[in-house]
Amino acid sequence: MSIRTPAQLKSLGDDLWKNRPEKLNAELFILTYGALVVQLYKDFEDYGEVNKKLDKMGYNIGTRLIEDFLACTPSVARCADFRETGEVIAKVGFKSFLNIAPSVTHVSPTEFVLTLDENPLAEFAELPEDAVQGGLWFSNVLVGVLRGALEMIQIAATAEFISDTLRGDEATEIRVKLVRYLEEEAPEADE
Amino acid sequence: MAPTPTLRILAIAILAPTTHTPLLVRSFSSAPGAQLKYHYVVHSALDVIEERVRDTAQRPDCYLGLLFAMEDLAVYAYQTTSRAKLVVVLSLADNIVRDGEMITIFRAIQNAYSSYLSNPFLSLEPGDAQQRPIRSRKLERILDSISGVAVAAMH
Repeated sequence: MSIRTPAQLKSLGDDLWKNRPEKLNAELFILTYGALVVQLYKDFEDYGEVNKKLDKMGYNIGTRLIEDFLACTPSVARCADFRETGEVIAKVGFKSFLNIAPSVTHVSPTEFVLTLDENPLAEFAELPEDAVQGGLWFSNVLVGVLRGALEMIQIAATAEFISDTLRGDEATEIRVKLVRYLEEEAPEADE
Repeated sequence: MAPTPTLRILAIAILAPTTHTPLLVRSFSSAPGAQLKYHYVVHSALDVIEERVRDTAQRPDCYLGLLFAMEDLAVYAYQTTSRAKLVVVLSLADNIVRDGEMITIFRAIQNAYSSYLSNPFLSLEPGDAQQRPIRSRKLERILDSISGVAVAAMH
């Protein structure tokens, strides 16, 4: 019996997180990520560049992370449509890796928005004024991860932040849009 | 009906380790000249702090207790593991404030301060993060809620 319904996905996500043997110290992870973002800014001195680099790093992480994810979730059925993909990402993906459960809003059959109530990556961060002006998306690695992971399962999609509480917005939201399904082909070389 | 509480947190101050430079003095009183008054109170507390700290040189992380009382104020202090000093100014009341309660308040302030120090963007500014005046809306909001919570818990 394969897992399909949102409720089943949610409990699968919860189980995966609980049973993951090697949990990393959260503070270490958060401080490391923060140091990384700030170092990127010191190196490139342009917040737009930092966004791009975080996206690229995320892409490289995502292409590898999907293997781990698929191996841990043999019971999840192949998604029938992009809508189901969104549900799996929110309830199983985010939950099993980051222990957060974003809500999904299906804008259309080819687009959904993830709303993160909490964002562990940004736990201690406070953006300086010029980072807000410069358009920094602090957690931009996440959009790269989504893009890379989806590409490895033959889904070409775009992912981007549309709001972030760090910047003073009401919520933290990522929009994921389907571009097209890919034919079986060799994966893109590391950027 | 509980009597109107006369005990409240009037100010919280964070002093840098060693130099004791005030990094933040946040007053919760809307009275005119309050800010300056609490700067003065905290400054006066420094001598007492330094004296108490000399006596307890062996353990850095400790509650220094009631430093002194003046007019209608009571001043308490706490030294963190990094030897930063946290100072809380209470308005005097008839009910005794237990050490346990003060320690809880200081722990909350200390957690807020360490979260502030963990902000990765601090390293973008020149100088030593531990000696730099604090400008953090997040920290101020937490201190505001600590002072509010203390009032609620007292009655």
